[in-house]
Amino acid sequence: MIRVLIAEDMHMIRSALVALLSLEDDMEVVAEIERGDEVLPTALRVRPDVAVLDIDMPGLDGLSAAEQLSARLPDCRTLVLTGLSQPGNLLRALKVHAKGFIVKDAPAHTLTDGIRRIARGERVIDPELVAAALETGSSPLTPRETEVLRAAATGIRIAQIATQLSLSQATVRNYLSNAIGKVGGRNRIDAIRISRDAGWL
Amino acid sequence: MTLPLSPARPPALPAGAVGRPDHLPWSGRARGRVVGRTVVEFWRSDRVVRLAPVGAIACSGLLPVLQVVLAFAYLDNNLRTGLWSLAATALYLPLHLRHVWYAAHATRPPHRHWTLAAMAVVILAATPVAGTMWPRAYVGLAVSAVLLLPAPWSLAIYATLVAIAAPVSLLMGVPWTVVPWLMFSVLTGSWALLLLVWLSAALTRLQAAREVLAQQAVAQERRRIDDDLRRTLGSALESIAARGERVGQRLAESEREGRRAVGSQSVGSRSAGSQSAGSQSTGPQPAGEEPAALVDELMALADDSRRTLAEARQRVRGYRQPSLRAELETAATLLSAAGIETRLVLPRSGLPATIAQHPRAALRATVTRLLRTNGVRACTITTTVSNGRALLELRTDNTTETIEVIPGPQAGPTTDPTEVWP
Repeated sequence: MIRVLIAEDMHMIRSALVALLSLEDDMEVVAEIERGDEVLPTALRVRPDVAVLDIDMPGLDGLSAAEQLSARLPDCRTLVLTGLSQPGNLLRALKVHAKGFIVKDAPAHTLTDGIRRIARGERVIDPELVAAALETGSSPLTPRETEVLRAAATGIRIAQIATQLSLSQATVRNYLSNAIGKVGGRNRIDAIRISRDAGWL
Repeated sequence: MTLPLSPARPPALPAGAVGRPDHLPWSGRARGRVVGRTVVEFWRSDRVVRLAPVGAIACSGLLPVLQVVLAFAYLDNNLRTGLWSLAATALYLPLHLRHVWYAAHATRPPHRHWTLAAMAVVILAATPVAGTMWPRAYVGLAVSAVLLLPAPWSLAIYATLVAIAAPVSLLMGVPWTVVPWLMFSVLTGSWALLLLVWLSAALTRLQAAREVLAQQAVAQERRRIDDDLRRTLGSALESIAARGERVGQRLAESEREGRRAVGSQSVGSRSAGSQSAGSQSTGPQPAGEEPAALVDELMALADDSRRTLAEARQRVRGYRQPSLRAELETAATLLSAAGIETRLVLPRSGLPATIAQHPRAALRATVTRLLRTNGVRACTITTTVSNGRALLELRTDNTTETIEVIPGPQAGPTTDPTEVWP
């Protein structure tokens, strides 16, 4: 029996996933979570074989949760559900040792089949996502620029970003300016939008 | 000697046609840098184009103002001549600046002949009273004439004005030693202004041409995409619509039959209430196989929709032309992120800029397979170019796959170097 943890913030989708997996004889949903920051403590408690994680969750995003799981509970394999609109997330998912990366609009059997294969130790990656990721390309931003742009995306002011990242305001402005130039944005908001759409943030 | 000026400004570029990042293909760090630089350069050149007419206006205004100051300052002149000079300049300068402004924007001002005539009257009429150095004001008149009038006339007027500046100065009492200097200043001043205005007009025309080209490219691309979608996805979508309609009709028929069956049963039971229950089972029923057939039909419809969606995505991907180099770099980055030590070896020159759809699909399939396969430790992606043929070799621990790189449309060789360790 494959023990599955499901983390998805949208109640209706979560219930549908639970109902879908409950139909499978060889799977058991041992936990369902709606927040990213609850993934690790719950997983440590219930010890699932496979964690099915959505990317956008309150508290902590699915990829960061996958990273925590990989570090603290390496036996638990993670399968990330995503949309095709953010292909850059594939790179992050691979970096955090996610074993599976499936688009949300794939047929239902792709998910169940994927969970079984991941439980067997295989890696499941949607070829369309690979194609989309290759097309989008890797992020042109440096890690620091990404960090600054991510902080700016939360809506805080430059002074606050500077305090948060222990930088001077001028340096923050420089990083933002570089990021805007690199992604080809017209302004900060545009750069955030482009980077977010590409999955670089 | 008039420049071929356009009668009106070209239509503005639609928002987002050029420079908007969401219209630009994205593929990798290098491309990101290039696109970012292109956008910045675009803004910079746009600013230069906007500032050029202002520069022309500033220079055109500076000379007459200097002329007025000199009218007050020269020893031979007095307050009266200075005031005449000031009044005449105040009258003709706005007209002159108007001419320059329009010309610098590569257009012609309305009523230009009248304004030029008014300017000429003011300047020539002020000659006897505005001081000995007033012939320098002929520079403005000559420049306006060249900018506004057609070629033979403009040249003739220009030459006449320059030629009479010297005798007029002599008549007004300017020493003959000063006259050559005055002639020189009239010539150089007029040509400097003309070149400035023509340069600004050329920049404006270049920008307009660029905008028109961009508009044409956008329109052409839209037409191509539209044709492509209609030819390929159009039939698939029509099939889905037809199938959905069929399912809807069958559902409606099934429902009608069900109602009829229920109605006849109730009529039958009223008219022959004593009949046995067994006789009811022989009455009309909703088709027993109908629900199963409908389910099949709906499943097929869902499959069709999914296939069409996949095809649509494939199409959209086909419209973008990511560079081969960027695609290889990203592939190497993805493989490295998946724990496969990846080395990318690219030739110093001759690498096609893009890759055709078929070999690109093969490359992507190989990358997907490698990402899915457990236990691959190392991978080397090598591109070699010889005799105009480019070969892509993906060598892993125990397998080697070779793909011939057929350049994609609009492909040209890049000269990007090198060996990359992601």
